Amino acid sequence: MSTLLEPLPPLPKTRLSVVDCDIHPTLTSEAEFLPYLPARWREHMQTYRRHVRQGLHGTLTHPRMQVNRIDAVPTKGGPPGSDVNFMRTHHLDQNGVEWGLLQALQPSGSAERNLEFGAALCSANNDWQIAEWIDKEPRLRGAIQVTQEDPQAAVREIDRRAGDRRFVQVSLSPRAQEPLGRSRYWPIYEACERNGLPLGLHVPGFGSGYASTPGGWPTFYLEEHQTFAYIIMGVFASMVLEGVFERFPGLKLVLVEGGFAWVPSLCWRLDKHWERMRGEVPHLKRPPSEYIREHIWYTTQPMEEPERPEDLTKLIDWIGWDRLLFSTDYPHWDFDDPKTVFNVRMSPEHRRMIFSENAKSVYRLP
Amino acid sequence: MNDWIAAEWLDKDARLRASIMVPMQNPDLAAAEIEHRAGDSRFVQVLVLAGLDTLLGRRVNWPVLRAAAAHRLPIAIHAGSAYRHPPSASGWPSFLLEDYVSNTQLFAAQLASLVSEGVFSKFPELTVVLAESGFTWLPAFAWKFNKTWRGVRTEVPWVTKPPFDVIRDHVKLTLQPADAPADPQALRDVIEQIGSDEMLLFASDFPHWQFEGDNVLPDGLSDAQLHKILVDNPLATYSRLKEVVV
Repeated sequence: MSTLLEPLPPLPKTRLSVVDCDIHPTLTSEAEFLPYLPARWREHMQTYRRHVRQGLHGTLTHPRMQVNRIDAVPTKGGPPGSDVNFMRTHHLDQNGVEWGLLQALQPSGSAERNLEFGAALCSANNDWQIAEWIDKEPRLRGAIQVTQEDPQAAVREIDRRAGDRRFVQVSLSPRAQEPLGRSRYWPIYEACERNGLPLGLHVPGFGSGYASTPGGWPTFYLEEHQTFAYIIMGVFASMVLEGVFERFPGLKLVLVEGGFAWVPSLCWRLDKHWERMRGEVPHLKRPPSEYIREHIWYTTQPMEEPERPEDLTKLIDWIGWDRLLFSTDYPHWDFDDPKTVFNVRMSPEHRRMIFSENAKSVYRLP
Repeated sequence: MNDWIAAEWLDKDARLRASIMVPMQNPDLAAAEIEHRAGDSRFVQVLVLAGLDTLLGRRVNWPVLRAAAAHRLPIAIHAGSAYRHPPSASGWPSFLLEDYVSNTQLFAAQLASLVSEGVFSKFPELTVVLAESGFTWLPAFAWKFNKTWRGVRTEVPWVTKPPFDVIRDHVKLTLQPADAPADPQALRDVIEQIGSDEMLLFASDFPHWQFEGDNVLPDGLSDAQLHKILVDNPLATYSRLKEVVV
């Protein structure tokens, strides 16, 4: 293992420009985060801890595993993803990352049952992203973390941050208390649309307390990893069928880390059964797939790898080459390497679209 | 229920075959019901809902799987749920349409469970039939399942080959509903991606409203594929049919 931790030799920069839409910054320790909380909530955190829908705070729901690349441990120590200087050389420089979009999932306010505390955690997380990451590395961009269970607080946080263009999207948990298309969450979508900010939903998300599959809790991480797709498919159907995109025609939705190979078959299924049951959802004026084609984007990692590589091309032909946004998930174990992840022939134009141009357009990056 | 099916349906039309309904909330009683019915060869499979108390592969359910395998009875998992768990990880959707569409996630979770728990290593003769599951979702699910398995297969050492290959060996899917677009090429592509012509079984869903009426076969299938789906695959899946069908 020690050889993996040697300083990396300088590599020639890849010629391809990369916008990485999923990078995880990590706290070195709780002590790093506490100064970002107001005194009232700092004391609360230290006295009562987090109050979430699982047995042990500070743990991940079972089943889980060690989730980081071993070679991403910073030279100076601390957890992978906790040192901006190490990330700069180990990832951003190595992989030619022009823009890196932070997904600061922890500490999460979206899972907190005490809603006021949840809002404070989100706000502190947003301050921390700016101070510890974006101020120190100008290629990084933030996501405004909000707690979806208190939409009024979420709207206040969005409106307060939207003027800072270093935040390029709004982020909340795809594992909410209710399916995210339901109207209780609409004030958040109104604020996203009004401020021109895409909504980015990163799986698996924390919060609901419901089983990760509709058949109950799985036993193995191998199964749990598949639930990323089920969770995002549920959100996808809910947002479309509740009429969110009829109501907010300017809303852009980015589904992060949920894969994309399932999109064609789910669109076919939605369209087919909508034809028969459209009386139940009269607020939809068009087939579900049409809203999907206009409003939803997908990050690529962890990319499904068809057994016959050419099937990937067919899939993307169907979904749309303008819909995919490259992501690595650095520093997690299932990182997709931009140099090797696509094992199919792609035109230079398609390559540019997926690796950078689509993201620049969705997030209005220069 | 099983007595009623035998008396009111099987006794009255010799073409009909039935499923053994079992109480999955009590796996020991479910296994006992299989033992009790297995002698009547007009029962050709065991039937469970896609949404149960626990995922089907979990070891608490193995008495049922063991009994089915011992009698060469496929386990049919039918769309629908006892709703012990909500249809999404974010709770209860508003619409029946949403619940119905979400069934594919439930079927995928059951396949992930059966394979990951090592059910097909423990009971190599077991066949699982997904009924009213749709099938166009299968390749995308199995590609991801394969990729994750390559990364974490030390967690499940009893899964000794890629999950998609295990699924091809042990799982059948019924044709209806064929969730495919009007373009028959898309359906042909999916069937090629499934990579086996032995997995699909004809079904009509009569008399439910998802029934396709006269249009029971989707466009895009060759005559040879249709013969497999309509005749060969069902006969291979349900060995008990051969006992009377010449």
